[in-house]
Amino acid sequence: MKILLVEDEKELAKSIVQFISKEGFIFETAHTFSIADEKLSLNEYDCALIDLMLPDGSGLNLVKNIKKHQPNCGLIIITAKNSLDDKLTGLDLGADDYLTKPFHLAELNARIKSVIRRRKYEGSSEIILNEITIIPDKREVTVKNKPVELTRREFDILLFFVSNKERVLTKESIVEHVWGNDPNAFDNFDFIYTHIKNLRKKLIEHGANDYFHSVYGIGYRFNLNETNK
Amino acid sequence: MKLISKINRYFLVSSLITLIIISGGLYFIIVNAFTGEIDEQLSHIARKAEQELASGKEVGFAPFIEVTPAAPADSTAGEYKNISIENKRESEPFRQYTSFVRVNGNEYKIITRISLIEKEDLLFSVLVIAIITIVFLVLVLFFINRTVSKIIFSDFYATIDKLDSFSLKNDDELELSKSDIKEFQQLNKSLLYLSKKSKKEYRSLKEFSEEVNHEIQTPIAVIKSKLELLLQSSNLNSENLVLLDTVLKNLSRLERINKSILLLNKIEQKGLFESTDIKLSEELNNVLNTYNEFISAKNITLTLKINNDISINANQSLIIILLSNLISNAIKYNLPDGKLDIEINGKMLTISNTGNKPKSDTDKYFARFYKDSDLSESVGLGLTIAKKICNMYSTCIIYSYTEGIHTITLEFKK
Repeated sequence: MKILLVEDEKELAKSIVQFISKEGFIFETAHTFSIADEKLSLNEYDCALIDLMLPDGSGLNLVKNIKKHQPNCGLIIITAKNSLDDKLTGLDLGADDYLTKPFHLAELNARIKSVIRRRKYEGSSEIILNEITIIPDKREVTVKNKPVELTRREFDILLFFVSNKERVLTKESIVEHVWGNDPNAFDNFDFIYTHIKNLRKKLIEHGANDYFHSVYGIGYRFNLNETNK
Repeated sequence: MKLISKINRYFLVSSLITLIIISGGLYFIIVNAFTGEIDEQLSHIARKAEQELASGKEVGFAPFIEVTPAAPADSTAGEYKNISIENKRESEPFRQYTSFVRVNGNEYKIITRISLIEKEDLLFSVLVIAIITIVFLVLVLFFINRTVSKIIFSDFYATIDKLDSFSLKNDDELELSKSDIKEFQQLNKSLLYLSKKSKKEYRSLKEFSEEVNHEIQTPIAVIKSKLELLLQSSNLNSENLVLLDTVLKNLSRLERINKSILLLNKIEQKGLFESTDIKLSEELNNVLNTYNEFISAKNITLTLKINNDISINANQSLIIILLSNLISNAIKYNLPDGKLDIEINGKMLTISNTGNKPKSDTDKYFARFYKDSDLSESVGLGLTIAKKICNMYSTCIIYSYTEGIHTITLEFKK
């Protein structure tokens, strides 16, 4: 999987590459519009992350360019502006997703995976994790081929963990992923505990191992190589 | 007190004083001239009496002319004097002239008198004229007060009206009507200058604050990403993790504050938001869906009563933000096992929740960064944003507290 990252803030670009390249993606980074434009004319990408505000041009033009010349490339727009207009224009132009700075790296990772899943496998992908199988587009989960009934929230939480395997996820990032990012709504994320407890219980009842690990009050980690007995 | 009344008051007082002085002076002058005239007449009559005596005629007509023979001249010779003579019931004022003459070898004392009743009439007339003038003056001033001031000050009141509706936030410049009065022209000129200058400064301040807001987003994003990378490192002990947790929490608070301010600034630019027809109950249900888990996590009993739907023409995102802020507050500040009642009735949406007694002035609830709670993580901008959105759609928002129940009422314009 080849991903183009267009982001003028070098340190942020470095963090993104460092965090997400573990997934086996190959990253190419462009800090300016002209470099991004050049790279797009030379290479094909599976997904592009584009910052709208670039020192030498608007990212929206890159979006148009990609739609025209690389229609199979997934597109995620990143911007510091959370203007509603930009959101509309970005999505109207055919961007698959839209992310406002500052974001959680785990969130970006989940979005990239979701875009690639939709684009590459046209919705027929399955995620197989030992005895657990997830079909994201049908929102189905099976353990040892037996279906597990999950609530909408529980499914979203599971998919978020699975997209960010072996990573510490803060409670805040989980809540923001599942309930949306409303700056004034949440100031206590402890209620997430109940949801994760229920999710674990359901999976264990169906014969799955417990891959969820609590991390010192900060959050949780989903680790396939380490099970709670 | 009105300016014109104040001016009139000074004018009236000074006119009265002037009028009294003038009336007094006038009286004095008239009396003097009158007395001079009478004295002349008296001496004239005396000479006439002397001539009559010389021709051997009997002279005397009391009390106007009295002739007494052969008295020696005394100190009263040639004296003019005011006297009063008792006559039946009343006394009558007279002016009298005494002279001594020698006619045909005989000495005579001649006293001539003229009644001064006319002098009193004169005083009376002057007084009447003065009073009429004063009454007339008061009437004229009253008239000026009532009607002329309306005409003269119309430009002034027009300016005041314009100033009342003037807002730094509006894009349109202050426009004042022309006046032909120099002072008002001057006032308008200064006001126009002032409004232009303050608008310019307000704009640059606003632009600055928006830029700061945007600029802050990037370093926050970088710090957040680095901390999240740090969080993934395997050799952190529990102490490190607790520190990291605190840093992350405060960073996200900073982020929330910044985002809220961005939103607040944006709401002021009404043109940015497209309006559509919105069914309030629909949005309310969607928002409640989002908060379902929060409500059950606190074991709050939710009662939803929708008597009728309210349809509003507004921006959907803003209405969702408005409802989210109000409902999340009603959950955040609710008591465990508390109650949350939401009702739509007529044009009103009422959200009431159980909660602790307000610690201080509830008028400040809508003010920026005001917090009446121990929830240190709350930003204190939720209600400010809610109020801004309400103002934008001329919706009335009222907070009240009675016996353990906090209530927010929204009255939508039809």
